[in-house]
Amino acid sequence: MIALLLCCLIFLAGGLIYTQISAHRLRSITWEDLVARMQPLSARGLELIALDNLQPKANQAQLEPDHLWGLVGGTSGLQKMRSNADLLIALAAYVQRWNFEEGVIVTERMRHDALQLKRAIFKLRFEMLIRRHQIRTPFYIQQAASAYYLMTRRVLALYETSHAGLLPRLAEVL
Amino acid sequence: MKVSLFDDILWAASFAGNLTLFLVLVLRGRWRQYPVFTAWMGFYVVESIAAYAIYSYAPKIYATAYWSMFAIDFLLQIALVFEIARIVLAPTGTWVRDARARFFLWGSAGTLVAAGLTIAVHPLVRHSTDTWGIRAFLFTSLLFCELFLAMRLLAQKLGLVPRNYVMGLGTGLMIWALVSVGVDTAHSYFGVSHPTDFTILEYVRTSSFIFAVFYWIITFWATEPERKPLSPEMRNYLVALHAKVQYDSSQVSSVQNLR
Repeated sequence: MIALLLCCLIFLAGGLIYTQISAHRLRSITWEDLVARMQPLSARGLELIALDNLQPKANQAQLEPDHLWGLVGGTSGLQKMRSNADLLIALAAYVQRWNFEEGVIVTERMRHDALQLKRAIFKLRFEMLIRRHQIRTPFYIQQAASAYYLMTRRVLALYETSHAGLLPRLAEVL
Repeated sequence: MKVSLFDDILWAASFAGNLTLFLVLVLRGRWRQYPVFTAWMGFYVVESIAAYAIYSYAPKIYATAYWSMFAIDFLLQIALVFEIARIVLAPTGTWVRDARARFFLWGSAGTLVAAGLTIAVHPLVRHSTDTWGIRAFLFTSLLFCELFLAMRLLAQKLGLVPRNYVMGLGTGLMIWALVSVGVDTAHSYFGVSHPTDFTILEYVRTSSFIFAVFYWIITFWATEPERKPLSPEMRNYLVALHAKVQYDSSQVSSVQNLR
């Protein structure tokens, strides 16, 4: 029993020290660090998919699955979107340092988008893993791209009003 | 029970620290944001005086008074974790998405683990009351540590940046809680069969708490940097942005529902 208690103690100590270091890192991280970690994605391709999904027009079936897959950047594009989503949330949370209320609200909305994005990517990967009939694949790609697009729009809008000085650099990266 | 000079020094340092911290929290107005933390420190000040008076003038009821105060202390510690969780996970008054459900889920799991481990330990003791005493301390230490870890993991996962006071409070609590769990783990193995070792371990626990208290005095004495106030233009912009976001989300949902 003492071994189990010691394991519990080690787990608690490890967890608390990890969260302590992580909190310190989060407090000391600079805006430049966050922006530098953003991975490049095809902004135009993602915008095309997202707008096709969010603002449907005539000829809605114009984007074929292969075309969608290419626009999103394939498997590596999905992985980049996933990791960039966390950075986008961190960028929105960064705004809380000088404009707390709007930073909190927009960050919260972006968490919702990130959840949709990650769910869509998870479903996509799952379908690819089990090699099931991939009829839903284009829908999941559109969901992921739309969620990511909304996140980028929100964070740009937030910076536009909160810290216009940082906006050009951010817009360039996104 | 023989009380050594070192016991007296630790008691005096602890009392002075608690009283100073309580005065800092009240006089600097920190009690408004941290009412439970202030009440916890206030309770320790009153407890020290009451315990000393009861021990000196009514030793027969000391055990009853001790365990009654232990129960209040435990409740205040749990309330403190919830106070920190409210500040970190509900910064605008409403809980961050998914935070409350996950916090209560992890907290419940932690309670079950703490209860299971506590019941399973069988320390070396002569009287069964000692066993339950050691178990009570182990349970409170484990539960506090687990709830605190659940809250911090959640904040870390959600990318919530702690401010100065919460960070300072968390650092002090982390040190004291880990030392407490370590001491109670040792007690649950050795029991009270080695009184000298038992006392030394208690010295370690008390010293860590005194260290945390003096760290908190410095932290809460300093003024936290203020955030910029929200301008009326920004407020209007936010309302408009929020409405647009709701509209975008409803569009996404409706497109998904069509499929």
